[in-house]
Amino acid sequence: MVSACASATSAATDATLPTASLSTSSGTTDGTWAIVPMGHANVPFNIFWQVFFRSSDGSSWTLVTPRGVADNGGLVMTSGAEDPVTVGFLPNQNLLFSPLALTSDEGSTWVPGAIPDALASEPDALAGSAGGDSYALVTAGGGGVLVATSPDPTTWRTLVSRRALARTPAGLTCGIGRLTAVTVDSSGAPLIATTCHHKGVVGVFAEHDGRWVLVGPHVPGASTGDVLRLVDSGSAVSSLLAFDTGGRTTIVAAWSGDGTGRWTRSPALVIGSSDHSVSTATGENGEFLVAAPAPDGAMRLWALAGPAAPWRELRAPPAGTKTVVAGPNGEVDALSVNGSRLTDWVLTTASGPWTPRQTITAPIVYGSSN
Amino acid sequence: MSRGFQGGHSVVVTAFETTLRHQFLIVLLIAVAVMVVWNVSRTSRRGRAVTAGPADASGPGQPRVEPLARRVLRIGFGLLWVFDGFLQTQSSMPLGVAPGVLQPSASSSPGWVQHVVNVGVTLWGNHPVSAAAAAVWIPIGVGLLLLVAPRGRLSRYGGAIGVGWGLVVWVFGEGFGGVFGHGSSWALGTPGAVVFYIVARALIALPERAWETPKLGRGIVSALGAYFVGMALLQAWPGRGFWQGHGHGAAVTGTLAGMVREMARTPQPGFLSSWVGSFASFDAAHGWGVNLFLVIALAAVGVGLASGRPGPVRWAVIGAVVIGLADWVLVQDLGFLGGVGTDPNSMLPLVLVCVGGYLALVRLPAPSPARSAMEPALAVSLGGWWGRLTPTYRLRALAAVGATAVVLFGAAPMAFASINPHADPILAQAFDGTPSVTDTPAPPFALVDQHNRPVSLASLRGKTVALTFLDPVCTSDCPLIAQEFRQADGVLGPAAKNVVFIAIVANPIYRAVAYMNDFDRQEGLTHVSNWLYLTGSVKQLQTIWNAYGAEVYTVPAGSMVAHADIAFVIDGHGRTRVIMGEDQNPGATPQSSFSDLLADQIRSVLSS
Repeated sequence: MVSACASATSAATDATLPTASLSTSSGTTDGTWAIVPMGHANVPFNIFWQVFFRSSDGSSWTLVTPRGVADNGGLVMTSGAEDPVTVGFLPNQNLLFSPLALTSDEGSTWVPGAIPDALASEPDALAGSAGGDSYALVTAGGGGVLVATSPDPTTWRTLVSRRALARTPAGLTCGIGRLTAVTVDSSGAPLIATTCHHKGVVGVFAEHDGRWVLVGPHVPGASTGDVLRLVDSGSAVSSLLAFDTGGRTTIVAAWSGDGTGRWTRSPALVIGSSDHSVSTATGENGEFLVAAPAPDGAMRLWALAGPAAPWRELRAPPAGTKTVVAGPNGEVDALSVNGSRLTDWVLTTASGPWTPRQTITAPIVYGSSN
Repeated sequence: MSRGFQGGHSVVVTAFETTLRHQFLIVLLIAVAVMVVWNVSRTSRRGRAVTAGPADASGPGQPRVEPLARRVLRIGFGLLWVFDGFLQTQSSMPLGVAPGVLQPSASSSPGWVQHVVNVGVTLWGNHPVSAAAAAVWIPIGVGLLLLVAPRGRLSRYGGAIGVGWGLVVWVFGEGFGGVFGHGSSWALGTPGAVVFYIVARALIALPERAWETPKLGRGIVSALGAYFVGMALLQAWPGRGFWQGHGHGAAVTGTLAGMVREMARTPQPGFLSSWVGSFASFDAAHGWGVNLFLVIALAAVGVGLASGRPGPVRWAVIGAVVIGLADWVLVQDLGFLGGVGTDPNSMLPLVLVCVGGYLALVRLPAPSPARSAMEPALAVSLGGWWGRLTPTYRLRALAAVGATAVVLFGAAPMAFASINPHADPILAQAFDGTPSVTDTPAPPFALVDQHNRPVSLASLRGKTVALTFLDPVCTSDCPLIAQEFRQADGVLGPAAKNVVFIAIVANPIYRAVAYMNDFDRQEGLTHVSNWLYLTGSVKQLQTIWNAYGAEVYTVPAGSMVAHADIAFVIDGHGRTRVIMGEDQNPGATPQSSFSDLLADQIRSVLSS
């Protein structure tokens, strides 16, 4: 199972490094989740982010956006390896903290929760462990990671702040920029990703014996880099790294069995200029999709089947594509948006045509957020 | 959920018109008082004349002939000020000036200019009726003062007052006339009409001796010459968009062509529309040629004026009048048509200053024999000075005092309003309607507060309750309403000790105490001792929402929970006394407008 993302991002960025879009999808044993921005793309109050779910034994998507909070600021979601699946609402207008919604029944019902601070605008700002712990990347105080260890998703404590992490020997080696992701490894321990200002260092941190240490992959000759994605699929930790190579972005994927041991690297993929948002996708078995805008405005899409596989460029997705998803049997879905209408396009072979499979109209109430 | 300003426009307009009507009556009273004093003094003078014989017409009260240049400036600008004042009576002024005039005036200027102008925008936005009324009476008063006080210190002081008001308008109203912005140009009004008003008023404020030699006139035309040459250079400067129109496949509309095209679209009489439209087409097609003509004309006028010699100056003034009036009609579109025009723009005052400068150069008055004859109003001893003034001069002196009273009368409410950081409650009424006064039993409730303590309406007997419904995860109105409640608490001062501010959760999903505490932290309400945020079961809440008409319901597809923005003031006996709408349109309702209105209503309930 592969997940992917496309479209807009609101994340702050370092220098010329690209940023990861908030439009994501993720696979679980039960099915696939997708987050898609819909509505009027040029009017922030009228962009409404939607959550769709497709069960593993079905071929159609269902709109399951949690109710109760305006989501114009964007949504982030746990990567889906563990129950419950948690959706976080990003700060928006006068709302400065982040409500949560948790589901254990594929979005049929949601339980509310909240983080007392603002979630970071990163696709992997939320993570959950099999033990029930939840982790959240927040922006308060210059950034930090909160943890909720109780079943109550409203009581949080600080795991580590960005400043504290930056003062550690590992943080000094990295030259921490911003926090970009949090996940948990197979042992349930948190991993934190950051940008690094120092060349050749990949900012992935783990706590060993009360000390934070660098555990990211080594990339010889690399320049300053960004961890675009860091997700745990249950069997491995997958990361997607971006490096600025003279004004161009080079993407490298890396996988580790437990996130702290040896990393396997993919070939490098040069995708062009660095000053744009890079849409990414991760899969249950270490697959990746990367989508980036071409100079002519069209979107280019690359797929990586896993460790030791080469990058493959797929046929450009249809216009209006916001989120891409790897479906079963090697299929890729492109979820395109036209106002309130979402169309699911399917690509069955790399060079084959995209064919429409499903259309859903979201009952968006325009103007309801201002 | 939000109606915006349009919905409440009529409330503010009505208040503005009512204010103007009341103030007009006061101005009439001032005029009547002037006439009464004049009549009494005339009667008294006649009585003395019977006893002492005719007054000495050649005494110090007899005014000499005013220098022609000064008279032209005084009467011309006096009429312009009065006309400006009448333009300010347009009903669109209270709500239209800040977004339609003040903000655009600085839109292309640097940040610091916008910051300065924003002071004026905020002031006007918070007190639209007071500001708009002041903008009517101050220029009318200043204009009348110019027209009725031809001589003496009153006239000169009037000039100084006009300079002060002109500077206020130039800085806060015109954003320094756009001189710091991109695209500034003589044709478009740089450096702002008010600069010429200020110059004229400063000239009128000069001692009359200054008008007796050509030195003043030479200085005026020389300065104007430098101005015109500078404007010619600015107009010719490449890369500012003035050399292009829109023809011949040009991708970008030229600065001047764009302005003319915009002007041609404003509402105006048919004949004028035809002229401006034709010129817009001509300029779009021949932008380069039009600009070349303009550069040459400005430079020629400037050189002629700068020469300081009567001959060239005469022709330069004629040229300035011709191109100025042409620009006024074809580019500036008379300045006041369409939109919220507040004055006839820069060309008329510029032409007046040019003519005044020329007359000051060539039409000199006879030298004055003595200071007392030149400034009769206050230069004579108090004992007999009034009796030695001619009846006409006495009337003019009294009228000048009356005009000064009109200026002060216009300025005073604005001055008081400017020190009040809270917006006028009229704005809240404009959005939400006038509060409904009632006297009915308030629906009871028994819930828990943000500290999980039980609270019921019955337990609050003896306290006045300000009640509303807030969604703790609302993204737009609720945080603003909470701030208005907090500020109302501050506005009430010591009286707030008898008041409890209550919000009942308006979200059936996010209704736990934890979210209310997150909301309180977000809004700085944690330490407000008389603030209660109440919640309960969905069933309890639903009953209360229905009883109070709060209409809470969830909306699909990423929308926030919908609920009515409504507030109640409940007295100490548990009776609803006031029902208020509280629609907070982000960015449109100035802060604290509703809080003052709410505090007023609470005070009235407390005192009843």
